[in-house]
Amino acid sequence: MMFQISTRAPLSHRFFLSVVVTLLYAAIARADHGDTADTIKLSIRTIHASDPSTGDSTKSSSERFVRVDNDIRDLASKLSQLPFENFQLISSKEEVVTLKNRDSLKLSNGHSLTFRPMYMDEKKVGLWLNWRDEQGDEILNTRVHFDASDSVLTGTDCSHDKGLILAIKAAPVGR
Amino acid sequence: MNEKNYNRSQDRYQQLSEKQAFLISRFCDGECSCISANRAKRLIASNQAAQSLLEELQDLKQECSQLLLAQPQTSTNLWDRIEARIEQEEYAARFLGARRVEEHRTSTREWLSMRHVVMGGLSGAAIAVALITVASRPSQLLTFSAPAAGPVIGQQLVQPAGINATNTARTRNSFASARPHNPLEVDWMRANGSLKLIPDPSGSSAIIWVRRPPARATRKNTDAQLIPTPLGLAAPNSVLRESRQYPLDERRQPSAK
Repeated sequence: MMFQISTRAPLSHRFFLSVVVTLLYAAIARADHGDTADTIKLSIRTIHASDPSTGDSTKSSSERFVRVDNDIRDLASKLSQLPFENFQLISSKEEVVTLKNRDSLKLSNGHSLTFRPMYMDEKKVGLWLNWRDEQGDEILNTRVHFDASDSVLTGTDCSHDKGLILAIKAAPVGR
Repeated sequence: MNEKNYNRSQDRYQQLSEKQAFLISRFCDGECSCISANRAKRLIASNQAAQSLLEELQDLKQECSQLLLAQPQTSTNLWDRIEARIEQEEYAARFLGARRVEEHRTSTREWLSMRHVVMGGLSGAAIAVALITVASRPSQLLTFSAPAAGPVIGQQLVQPAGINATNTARTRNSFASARPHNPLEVDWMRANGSLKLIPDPSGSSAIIWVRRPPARATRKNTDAQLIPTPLGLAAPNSVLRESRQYPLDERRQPSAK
């Protein structure tokens, strides 16, 4: 019985494969350890802002009185930072999306929101957003990271005395 | 010395006949029969040349014996070593295969081989780093990047809370040190108008506010009122009047009620 052992040729291959396999295993282990969600639920609330505030500088934002719907009462402290006094919920949509996948949502006022969640773990959410108006013009194109327990608000002027606000919140699915 | 003895032996051979010299040589080697040995003894006793030849032959025989006795141990060891080596080779060939003559590797080839190992390791490390980067979430530090190539009319980079628009080349470290804890972190941001990040005193994420010029914000109405003319589309006077109601300095703030 004859065995042939060549010692030189496979050395580089063994070294390369061992490095790749080891680091690949480390990457997979780290990804698993990160406790990231594969599917998340995005909640997008469209809020109409009206009644611009008078701009009384003597009152701080916390003292200022704002009228908000019950469905968006959790956002009252944030909305009070905006120069409006009346906030109404226009629509609320939820979308279950897979990480790394891009999805679009048609909002009730004709605007569209395209998004792609990049990651989500226990603390943070990474999200790419592209908000377009009814004409297809880009309002906002950004990539942000925010607290998983928090809602990120973005808004724009609809006209000289009205505003449109999007409240975006992400939650893991099946965790 | 040896040459002198050889010449002397030649003289002895010449003084003796060929048969006598051969007889002395056989007697010296112990190859004679009893009769020949008696003849040799008588010749040696009667002839001085025969006696000298016998002595020289005996000396030569003794030297050869000493040489043969001195070398046997060395030659035995050498053969033992050779045999042991042959056995090792056969043993190795039985398990490792027949020995092959490997082609000579030049220093360049060795260098290439080493480079292959190094490059293999580096490429493996690069792949793994890329996988780790993809698998893990992106950096938590706020970064700003230049907008997409080509001019974008009416769009600009985000300027969070007092960041100068011309100072978009700030490093992430400088910005991170300026805002050590920010629940909202921005990799990049592009908007169709001026941008403002409104911080939340409660510590939650800031609000991203896009201030579009009123002309853009109300373009829905203008587009709806475009009138086809022989030279193209034209806006009616009402739209133009509406645009004039918002000079540039008033566009940034919604008009107070």
